[in-house]
Amino acid sequence: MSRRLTLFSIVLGAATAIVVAAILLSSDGGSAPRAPRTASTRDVTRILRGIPQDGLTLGDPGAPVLLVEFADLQCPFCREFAATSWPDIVKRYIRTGKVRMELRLLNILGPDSVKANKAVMAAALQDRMWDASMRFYDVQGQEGSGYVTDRFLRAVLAGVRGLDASRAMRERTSPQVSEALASVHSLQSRYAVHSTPTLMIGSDVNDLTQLADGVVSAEKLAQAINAELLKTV
Amino acid sequence: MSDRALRTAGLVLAVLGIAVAGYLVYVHYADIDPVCNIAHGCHKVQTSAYAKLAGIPVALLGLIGYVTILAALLVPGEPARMVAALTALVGFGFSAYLTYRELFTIDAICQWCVASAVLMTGLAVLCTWRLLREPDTMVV
Repeated sequence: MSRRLTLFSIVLGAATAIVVAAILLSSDGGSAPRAPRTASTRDVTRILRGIPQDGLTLGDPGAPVLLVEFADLQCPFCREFAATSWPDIVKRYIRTGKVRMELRLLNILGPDSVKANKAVMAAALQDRMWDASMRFYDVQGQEGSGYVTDRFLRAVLAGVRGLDASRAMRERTSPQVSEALASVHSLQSRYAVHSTPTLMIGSDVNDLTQLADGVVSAEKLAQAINAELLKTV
Repeated sequence: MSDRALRTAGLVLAVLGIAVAGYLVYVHYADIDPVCNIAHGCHKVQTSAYAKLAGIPVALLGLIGYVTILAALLVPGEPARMVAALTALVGFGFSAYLTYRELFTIDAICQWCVASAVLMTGLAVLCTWRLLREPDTMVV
């Protein structure tokens, strides 16, 4: 029997080693959802500091030009746009009161997007939607991988300065959030938006022209904004 | 329980495991959703980051595991018993990890994964039992 136990010990040891190696190889190595990165958060805080937010809108509500971005929080190109062109546009046009910008969240990439959108839209009820969306991009995971859990969202929202994260988590299922997301859907249908990011420009939501889809450079966007500003003079 | 009975029970579980894992491999490569009448979380689990290990679908790894166990059960001798027990214990350990991920990370349960985890648990018990007991030929 002792020989049999020795054989079993060898097999059990080998099996344990293989399972541990497999777990380490698996996805995130068994770690908790990634914590939002502090450095990026500081950048976003700096970019947005002092700029008014009202629900979906970033910037002076009296700004003559409206820029609307249709985005999916899981979309890597939306994240790229937010990291590259968007800060420049905020600095040159939104901070200076020339442009106001709306973020319209779409559910193009599945159930994870639905959950993410509800949480970020709930942050809009506290006028922190832009901070929350940028915070989400910081820790954006693989599309549709199931990473958008309540725990993940709580970690994202908890990192937004000035936001009551517990209240936002509760208000994800509120009628205001549902109505806001439904209105995005109706605008999406009206302008036949099928991909993200899609940028539209005009004077208000009833008068929008599509600029482009995909990641638009800050320079190209600036040219379009300047042209739109000339119309308002 | 005789070695023959343990072996027969193991063969039945391995064949059932091949059927379950084979189905999941089929739906993965056919890019369709598995039938999911009980827990309704199959799509979410199958498209999660945990559905692949080093780029290989875990369903395919499971299928390879069940086929290995089946083959090892059909071959007589100590080395084959060791291979069967090793494969089944690895399958059991990794199934337990994936079930934990389903419950606490993905927040969804896939009925096919649960079925596979139950079958692998049964195989781990049977194959370990076979390895620990003296072969019938040595019992007078």
